[in-house]
Amino acid sequence: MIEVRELKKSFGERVILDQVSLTVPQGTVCGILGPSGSGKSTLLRCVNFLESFEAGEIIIDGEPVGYRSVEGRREPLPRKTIARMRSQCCMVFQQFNLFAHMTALENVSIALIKVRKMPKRSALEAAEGLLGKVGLTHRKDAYPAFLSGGEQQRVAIARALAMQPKVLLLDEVTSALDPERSAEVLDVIADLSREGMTMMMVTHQVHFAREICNQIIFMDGGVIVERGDSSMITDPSSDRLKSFLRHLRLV
Amino acid sequence: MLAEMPNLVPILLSGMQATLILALSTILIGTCVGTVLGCLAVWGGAIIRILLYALVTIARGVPLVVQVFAVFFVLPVYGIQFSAMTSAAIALSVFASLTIMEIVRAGIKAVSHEQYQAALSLGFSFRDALMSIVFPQALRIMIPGLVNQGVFLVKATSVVSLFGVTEFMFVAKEQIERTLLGFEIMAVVWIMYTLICFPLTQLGRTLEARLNVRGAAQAAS
Repeated sequence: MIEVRELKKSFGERVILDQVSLTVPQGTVCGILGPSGSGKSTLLRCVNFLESFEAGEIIIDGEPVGYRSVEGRREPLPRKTIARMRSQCCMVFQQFNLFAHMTALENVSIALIKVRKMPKRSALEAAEGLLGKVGLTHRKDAYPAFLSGGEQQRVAIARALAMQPKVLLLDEVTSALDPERSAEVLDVIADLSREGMTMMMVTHQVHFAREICNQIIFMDGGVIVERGDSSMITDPSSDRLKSFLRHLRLV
Repeated sequence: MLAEMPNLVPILLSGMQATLILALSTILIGTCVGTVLGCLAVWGGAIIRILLYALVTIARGVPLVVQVFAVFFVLPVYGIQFSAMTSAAIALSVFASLTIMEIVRAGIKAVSHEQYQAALSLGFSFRDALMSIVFPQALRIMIPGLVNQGVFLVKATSVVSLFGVTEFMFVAKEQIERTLLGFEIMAVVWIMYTLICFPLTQLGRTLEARLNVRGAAQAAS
């Protein structure tokens, strides 16, 4: 479903991602671990093309993200194509980023109306259904300021799901939440993985990653240091991952 | 003394028409052009942004009376000549556009970049992201500044009385010279300016209150 090939990205002199390659098959969850600044969030943002990248390619469901090659030259895709690709792999952010001037229901329905050009009535119906799915029907008329962090993040997930994306990108979605609030968000994500949603998930919740990820990638300094299945967490092979996990008091 | 007043008030009010036309056109043009310039100041290229920054620095730094002077007396040197009223409207509109540009720019900048990115990530076009997500939130932030500037512009129209535009202040001065009723006429002037500006500030308060109910939200992120 997602294929990243030799992705390279730098800010000026600083290399953020170097020769990153990975494959996420349909219906699987790929967890990305790593210390801050290792490039894991940037990797997700590249997949959503919120960041440009200098070399390599990202392919989602057979379609290239961000760039195409025309007569051997690499050039950015038309804006419309970029927007369409984005709407097929939605991102959920650490800080929720709900639209502050809209109720929960409006937050979930707005993209259906503006992007999918759905009539308002059916968009609102679909949005209600999704809020039900994340257990927030009773909060549909609340503005983000009146929602708890966990509720906000669940609305944000519903907002992304509204687009019926092929892929869901989760960028440290529980990092701003206390353990109870993160549990309610993680439950939603676990449900999604059971339903076969393809996901890429940057997280510090190592235990959770081990439970639901089919594949785990450990990044440091812009490169993939180690990759494997969930057993990697209990049985790391690289020293770097060992020391990372030791700091988390897991090994 | 007071016997003069019934005759005076209609004369004074005849100047009010020009003041209102000037104020309204200035605010209208200033808001439209200022909004466009404000967007350019955020998303335009580096050269455009630097140019706009230079212009607004001048507009804010040079006394308004000197700016009006430039339109009245410097442009004609280059063969560009307008009626007194048009010159006044041009001078005030340029000033209004540039100062409102700053309010719009700051308003847009104050909406967090994440809001815009969240919209993009859902597949919004640039235009939809602005219209549905950024502008509605920026507007709430801009209202106090816009109202302030509107009130300032109403009052600033009095500056052009110095250049022979027969607006309210000009007529008032004429009448003072004619009747020597300085105190009485000035009292009317004070009251009238306050009366024009009052609805503006009131409108601002109403809008603020209305947007705030919906947007107690702002505390969120």
